[in-house]
Amino acid sequence: MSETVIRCEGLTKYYGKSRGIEDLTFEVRPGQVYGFLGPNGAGKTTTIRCLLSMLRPTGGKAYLFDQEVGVDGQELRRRIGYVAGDVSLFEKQTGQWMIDYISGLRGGPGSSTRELCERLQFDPRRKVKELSKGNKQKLALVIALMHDPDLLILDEPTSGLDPLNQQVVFDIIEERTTAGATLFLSSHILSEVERVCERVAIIRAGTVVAEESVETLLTRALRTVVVTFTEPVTDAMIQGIPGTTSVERVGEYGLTATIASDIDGAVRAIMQKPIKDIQIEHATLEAVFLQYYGHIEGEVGQ
Amino acid sequence: MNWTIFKAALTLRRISLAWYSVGLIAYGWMIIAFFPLIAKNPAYTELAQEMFSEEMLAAFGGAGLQLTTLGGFLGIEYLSLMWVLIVGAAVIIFAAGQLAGAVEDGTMEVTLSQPVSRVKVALTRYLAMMAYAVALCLVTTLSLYVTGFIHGVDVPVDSMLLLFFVSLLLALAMGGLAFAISAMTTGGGRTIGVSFGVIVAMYLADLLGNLNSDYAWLSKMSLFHYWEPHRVIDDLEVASATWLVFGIASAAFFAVGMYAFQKRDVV
Repeated sequence: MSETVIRCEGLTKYYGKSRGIEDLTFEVRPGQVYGFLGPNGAGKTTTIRCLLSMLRPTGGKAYLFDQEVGVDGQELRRRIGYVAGDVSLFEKQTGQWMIDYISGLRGGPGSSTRELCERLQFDPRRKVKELSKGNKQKLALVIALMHDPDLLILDEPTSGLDPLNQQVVFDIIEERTTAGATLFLSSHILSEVERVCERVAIIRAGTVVAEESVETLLTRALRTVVVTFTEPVTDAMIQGIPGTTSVERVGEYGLTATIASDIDGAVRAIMQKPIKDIQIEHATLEAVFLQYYGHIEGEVGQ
Repeated sequence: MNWTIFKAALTLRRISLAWYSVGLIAYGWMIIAFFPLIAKNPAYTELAQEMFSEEMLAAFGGAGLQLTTLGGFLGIEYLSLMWVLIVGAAVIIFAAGQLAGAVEDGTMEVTLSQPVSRVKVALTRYLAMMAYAVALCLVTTLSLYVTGFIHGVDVPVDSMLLLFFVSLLLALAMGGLAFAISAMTTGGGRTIGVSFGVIVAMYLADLLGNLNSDYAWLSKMSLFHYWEPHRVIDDLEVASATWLVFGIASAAFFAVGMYAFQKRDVV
């Protein structure tokens, strides 16, 4: 069994003088559900295309199943199911034609084609050009998943799908990962990454700026503490709370503090005074993400 | 070769193949039907000779071209220009769609994300272009033979057979040029534009060389200098330079296209 399913070592890609990704290093282990997070233009798709040998890296190395990409990419891709961020299909043909085309390239029909079509409520008899964006996405998912690949590389897989179908897609993904498949999910939809991924890499300007388990990332992240005391808030009370990035008074008896670190110390300091109510809000992945991106420009979805 | 890609490439262009074939049959039929009037009627012959000066005949087909022979007539009226335009357009557009066009519309990404190598994809798509060219050259020669039979024009089988092979090599040279450009550029439209530009430049170079002996060297750099359909049909003769130039051009363009496609980014 492979030690890593995906491994990038200093992976770099420049388009002429313009940077795509730079010195990207991370690895995905077998069975892991890995989120690749970043806004549009951060380098997520460039990374995926380097992994699939569609782009020739300017520097560094990429490995799939412990084999260097590009040496035997053909056989490596047999184990991969890929949904592109911008789904492009043969517009004049039917969905069934597309399914047969992919089956032909893979040497036989997929074992779960019919089941996927039924669960996603996709009718393969219609021509691709007549399909809505959501239905094209369903077709892309069917052809990516129908051969039960070991590694799923999904670039914005729920784009264009309604909430019900998003749910179906996540159910299918969860079933596949439970059965042992590895998932590499590239997305800027933070809620879906938080929902399914156990580990994430945050990519900014072509470089990985954070790579940790979702749990650790959330633990380290900002928390908001809302407290109502039984006596008026004083300056000394505010100054006595450690690890805060901001503290605001809320009326005479309340305050809202954003804690960047040492939540234990902060809560202990707050508890020095009699409190009427306290709320500690766990940070969402979105808040973590904004910690990295909050002060820079960029398009951040949702 | 990958049979799935080969079949798909031809399936996606079957309608255009049908239309080009209809065009070739219709035009060839019209010329064949008109030939007896020219060949057997001195008045038409004189009129035609007046319309086409010696220089013009030389420019479009080389010196010594006779309108009254089947080869000369087909050469001037059909194979030297119109056939080149129809078949040139067909193979260039086909080849442009195989690599650059597929990269542009995103379908190359779908194909290359599957377990198939770039070499196999490019080779198969070249072979599909070859099959497309074979079909067009077959339609050309078969339609001339059949319509000749209908109109009582003696179209020799061996001439048509030889014409098929020479015209196929020319079609492959033109298609190969577009294939090589397609492997290096992004966008089917750009490939078509550049390929047509090169083809037109070569055609004009040949024309200029035929009209003015000072520019004969320019003519020799053109593929069309070696395209002499009248000699193939009338004399059953093909210059060894023709085989050589068409063969080398086809092979060289194919090799450049294959190499370039391995090196490029497919986005």
